[in-house]
Amino acid sequence: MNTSGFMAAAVNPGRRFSRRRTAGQTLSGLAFIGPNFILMIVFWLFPVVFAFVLSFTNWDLLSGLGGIEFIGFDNYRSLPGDDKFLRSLLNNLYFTAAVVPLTVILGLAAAVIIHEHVWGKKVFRLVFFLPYISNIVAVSIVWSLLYRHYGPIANFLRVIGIEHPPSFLADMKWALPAIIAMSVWMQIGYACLIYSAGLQGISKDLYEAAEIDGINRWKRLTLITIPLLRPTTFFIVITSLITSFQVFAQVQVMTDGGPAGSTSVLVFYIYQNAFRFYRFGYASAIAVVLFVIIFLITLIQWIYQKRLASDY
Amino acid sequence: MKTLSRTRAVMVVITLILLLSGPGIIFAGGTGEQEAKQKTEEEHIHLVFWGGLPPENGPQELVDRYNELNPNVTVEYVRYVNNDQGNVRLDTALMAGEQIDVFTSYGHPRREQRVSAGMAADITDLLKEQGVDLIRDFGPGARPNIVDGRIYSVPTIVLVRFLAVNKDMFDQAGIPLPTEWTLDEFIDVARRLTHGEGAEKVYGIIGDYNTNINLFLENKHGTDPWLNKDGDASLWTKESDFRRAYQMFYNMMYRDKSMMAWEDVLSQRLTDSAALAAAFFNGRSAMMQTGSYMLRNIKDPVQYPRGFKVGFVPFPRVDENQSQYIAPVEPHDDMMVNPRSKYKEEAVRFIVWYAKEGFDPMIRYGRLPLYQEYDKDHVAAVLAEGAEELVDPESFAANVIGVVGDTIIEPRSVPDRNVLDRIFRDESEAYYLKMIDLDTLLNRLQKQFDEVLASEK
Amino acid sequence: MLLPFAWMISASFKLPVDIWNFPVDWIPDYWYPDNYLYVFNMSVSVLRLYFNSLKVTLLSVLGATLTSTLAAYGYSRIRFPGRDLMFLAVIATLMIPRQVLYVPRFIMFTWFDKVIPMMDHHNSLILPGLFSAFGLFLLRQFFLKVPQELSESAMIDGAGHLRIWYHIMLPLAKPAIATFIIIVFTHHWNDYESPLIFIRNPELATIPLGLANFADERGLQYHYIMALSALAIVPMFVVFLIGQKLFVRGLTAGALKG
Repeated sequence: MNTSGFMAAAVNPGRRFSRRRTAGQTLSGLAFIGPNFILMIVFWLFPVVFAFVLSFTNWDLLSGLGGIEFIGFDNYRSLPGDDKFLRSLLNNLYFTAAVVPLTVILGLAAAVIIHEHVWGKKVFRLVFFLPYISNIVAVSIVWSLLYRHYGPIANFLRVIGIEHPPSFLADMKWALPAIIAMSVWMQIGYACLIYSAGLQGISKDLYEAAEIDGINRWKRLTLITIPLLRPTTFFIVITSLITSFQVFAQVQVMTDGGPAGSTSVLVFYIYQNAFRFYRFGYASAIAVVLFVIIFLITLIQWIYQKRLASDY
Repeated sequence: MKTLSRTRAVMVVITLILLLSGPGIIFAGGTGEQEAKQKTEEEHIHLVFWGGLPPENGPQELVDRYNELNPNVTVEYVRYVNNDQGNVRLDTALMAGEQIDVFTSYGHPRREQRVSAGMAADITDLLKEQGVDLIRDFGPGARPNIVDGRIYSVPTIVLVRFLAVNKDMFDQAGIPLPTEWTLDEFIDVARRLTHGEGAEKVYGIIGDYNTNINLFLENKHGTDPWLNKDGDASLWTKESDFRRAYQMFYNMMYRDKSMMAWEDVLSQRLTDSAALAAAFFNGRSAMMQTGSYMLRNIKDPVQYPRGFKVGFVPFPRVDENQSQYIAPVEPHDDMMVNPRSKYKEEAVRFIVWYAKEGFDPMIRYGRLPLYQEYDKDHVAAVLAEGAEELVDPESFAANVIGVVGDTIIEPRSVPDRNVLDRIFRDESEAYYLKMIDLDTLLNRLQKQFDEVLASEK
Repeated sequence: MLLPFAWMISASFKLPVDIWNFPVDWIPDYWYPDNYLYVFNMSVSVLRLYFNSLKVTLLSVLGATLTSTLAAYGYSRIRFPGRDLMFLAVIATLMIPRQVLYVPRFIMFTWFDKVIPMMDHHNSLILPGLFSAFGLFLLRQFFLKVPQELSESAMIDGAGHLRIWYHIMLPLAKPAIATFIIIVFTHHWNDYESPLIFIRNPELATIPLGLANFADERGLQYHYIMALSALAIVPMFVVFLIGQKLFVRGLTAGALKG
């Protein structure tokens, strides 16, 4: 198949160009990425550096810029002993481990089904996408009401024979799964949309050839679709990881971290420290740790994906 | 080809420059406006006043009146949303030097935080010039507004806490509205008012958004009953009333079932005051633990229709013979002046007028003026306007307008209060949800509170 | 999938007191349009909020599309030293939680304010919106999939990068750009924290900020929030339908090459 050639080229484009052109290449390369990169430096780099510096201080905002006091690594040192931080970290890992695979699998399934369905594509895509495009605060409010004790979800469970449905958001064991379910509901549309766009890019010829060879649907999916969608999957996995490690609005609106701290996640804990306790230094330190976690995971995937691509 | 891509590169750079400066050119309207603003400022004073209430709930009308009376001054009301983000927004703006002359802080923790951080101007002398004696004019409750002899803020309202009750349910059960009662009687009344099952069940009481035992103990122990005299340790395991109060709620939830179980409160989102109000007006409980902030909803039969009169009952005494009864009344809504304001004198003049004379538009929305000379009958009349058919006048007069106690709540300064509040909430919740027992709860509270209090010393 | 939206619409026609009733009456026995009337007649009407949101969102999306497609081309088609490192740096910006960036940004904008109006100005929302790490990442992934041969043959024909970008990549990447537009539009349309921090003039408020204003110290005004949220979804339909059209067109363009 010709996939191998184009995957390798895709990852290492331009390898065939000679060295003489390197200077010109660099210049035009910089010109293309310039606007974007400068905007990044202006609007992101400064705040990021500022936050990083703050993580070595005990700044409380109120004391002003003059009141920034450096305390070295104290913030980082107190993290391992902070039960609430550890709990938020664990909750977050649990959340991510559940949401990312579910989103990717369900999103792919939805996209493939919609893609193969000739009729009603637009409507189906819209239905899946509606949760993602809606305001997350409003949607979180709605869900927290749907989860109520005598709400539609609990009533439905009663109808199908579960006599004592959990009181989701009020139950320490069920609150986080309830938020996970809601988040997956929101994110499916996102994965589905991107997979849809990815599927558009796959040439119909491949499928036709496969059909002639008598390859069944399942094999077509595992042998053609999924391998060809690898860059798309890579993208969805990384962005979903980032989004899920930064889950916040649902938690704030639906449970405010409760009951009894059982749904506290990292960004919620960061938010609490910064916006409620005015511990901006400590909040920044947690943000840096979170950054390192996400960065490492991304880097591993990056290398893994590159190796995979060159193995072809 | 090399040169070709270079020209392209130059073009892209130009696009980039246009792009970066473009919006500035296209939307340069803002600078023009600012210049215009500055010009008018030379002629008269422009005060910026930040408050947390929606403008239509009083502040705009009040500010308009002031502007009418003072042609040389224009007060501009800016609403900030009084939640975590909104307050950070205000504090960042103050720190970064945005023009804010007057602002309102809600609740003493935020006030203390701002005063100790130097975000409030010392207005002692300016107030004196305006003929204000803080304690004489605003009562002993204003004492915490004075720090080391200097005044940094003026409290403007009293927040009154009470139990709102469904008077018809009390009448049907043959229970007169209590005027003075104890916790034991309260438990008994709640039990007698409970009936029904499942979705139809009527509870004796639904707690406030955090079913806070402290609110029930304040009338004996004063504010923050858990704090020792020196303010450096807590009393959770040392004062027996905490055990008693927690046990009371627990028994009411699970033995008498006269108080909605915490799991149900959470799962029905009754931690939100709009939801709590809806439940109460729908007749799902006979009593509701609340305060003057609920008057707005109580007075609104259009959005909160109901078929009964609302009565008002004081918090029960902890013990029948406790040595003093501290009224659940707390000064609130502190007006402050930005130390960087160019018009401090004018700002203070506005604050004094606001608190003493101009307050009427605010009363209608349930904010009771703290100013001691404010005509009580007038306040009552404005408050009751349109509510004659909705409330029981006698209990309204006794427990909202003219609350009597030996003294009133005097907030104490506690560092890291928000951290403590969170610990308190999480641990209480775990107890109400039966995840931990009472001893564990009290021990954990004692330990964690002491740690936080000690770290601040 | 749609149940929550049914609830949202149903609640937006209810009295605040009835929103909490259970079992839920999906179809209220009365029609209560007052929530919508209020949203239209409040001091800063929903129409004004709409206008502001559209302005901020459209300008951001337009600018971000330009900068991101250019950059995605650079990162995927032109090879130069340090490229991957720069790309990683861009992606890294996604990994810092925004919650710790608002205060530094606020301080920075007060400095910028002396050069271009930022504070209490739509620029504070539009300018940062011209950069989208997320969108760039998305487009780069799709550009990588476009066969290298296409641009190489164009290059041999003497076309410069800009021409290849415009005449080859953009038409081929239409489904990706459509996706990009939908996602970036959604992001800006629903962004609630930035306007809350940077905008104070009610006349400049966007829809999410309007939603935030229905909160006060004692809770939320659910009935208005639901009405405004329902109204806020409408433009997303339009964007989505336009995006779908681009989808199909991209497909035909892709087919032509074969």
